[in-house]
Amino acid sequence: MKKGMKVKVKNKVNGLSPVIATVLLIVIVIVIALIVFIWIRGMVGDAITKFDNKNVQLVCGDVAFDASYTGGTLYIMNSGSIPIFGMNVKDIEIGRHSTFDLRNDSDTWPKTGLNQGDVFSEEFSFEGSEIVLIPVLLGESKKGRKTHVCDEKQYGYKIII
Amino acid sequence: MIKEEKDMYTPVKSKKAVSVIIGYVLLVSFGIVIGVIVYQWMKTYVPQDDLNCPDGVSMFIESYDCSPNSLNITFKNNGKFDIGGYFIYATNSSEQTLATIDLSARNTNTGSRFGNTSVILIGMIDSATLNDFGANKEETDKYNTTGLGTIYSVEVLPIRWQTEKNRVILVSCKDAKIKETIEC
Repeated sequence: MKKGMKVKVKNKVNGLSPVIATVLLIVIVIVIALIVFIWIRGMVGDAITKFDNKNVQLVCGDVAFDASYTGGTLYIMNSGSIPIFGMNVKDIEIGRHSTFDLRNDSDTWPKTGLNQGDVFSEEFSFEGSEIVLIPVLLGESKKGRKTHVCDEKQYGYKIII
Repeated sequence: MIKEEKDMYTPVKSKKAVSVIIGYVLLVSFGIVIGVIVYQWMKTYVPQDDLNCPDGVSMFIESYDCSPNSLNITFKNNGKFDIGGYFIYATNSSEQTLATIDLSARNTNTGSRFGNTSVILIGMIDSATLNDFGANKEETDKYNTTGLGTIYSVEVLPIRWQTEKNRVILVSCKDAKIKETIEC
C-alpha cells in the first residue's frame, strides 16, 4: 500500500432485511417439516381402526382365544370379546417354516370370522414340531375395510405338536 | 477517516427486526399447531378402556345329572354381578382338551330364562334387564345329547351385556370361564 492512499469503506451494503430473512427462515422450516411429515406418513401407512377409532394394533392386545391340537384336529375357541376375522397358522420345523391363512385353506372357517364364543375345529397335518396361531383382525381405514395381522411375537399362540 | 471508522462500528438504531413479543407468539403458535397435527395423526394409538367383564363375575356348575340322551346341569351365579347368559361346549373324546360341541342349541328346557340359545337375546335397551341371571340365582337347563356319545367335559363361558358409549355390547367373561369334567 502506498503512502497517502485512501481506503474506501462502503457503508451502504444492501442485503435482506431482518423481517424478510425471518419470514424466509420460517417458511423454509415449515416446508421442510411438511416434507418430512408426508414422507414419514407414507412410511407408516394408513391407520387401521376398530371400535370407535381405536388402532387395530391396540385391539390385538384385547383378543383372547384358546386353541389346541389333539388327534390331528386343530381346535380354536374365541373366548374374548373381539371377533377374529382370520387366523394365520405358522408351521415351524427345523430350518424352515411356512404360513397359511385359515380363511383360504379351511373349508369350515366362518366367512365373517370367529365371533364371540364361536368354536372352530378341522383336521390338519403339520410337518413341523410346533405351530403358531396369529390372529387377523378386520378394521376400517380411509381406503375402506382392511385386514391387519397381529404381531406374532406379542400375540402369537404357540402350540407344541 | 476517523469519522468514517466511527460510523462503521456504531450500532444503527433505526433498523428494526421482528419484536421479541412477535417472536414468542410465533413460537407458541407453531408449538400448538404442530401439537394438534401430531395428535390428529397419533390419536388412534391413545389407549382406551378394554371391553372387559367386572372382576366379580363368577358362576359354577352346582350339579349335573346324566340320562341316556340328556344332560341336566344346574348353574349358580356365585359372583357379585348379574350375568346375561353363557356359551356352553362339551367334549365327546377323552383326548380332546378344548370343548367344541355346542350345547346351546340343544337346550330343551322350555322354562329356561335363556330359551334355547343360552344367551338372552337382545331386545331391550337397558343392559341391566338383559343380564337376567342375577347374583345367587340358580338355573337348571336340560340338554339333548342324542348322537353325541359319551360326554367327558363341559366348558362354560359366561357373558354379560354392558353399555359402552351408549351402546349395548356383548362381553365375554374370559376370566370367569369354567371347565368341569363330567362322567356321562
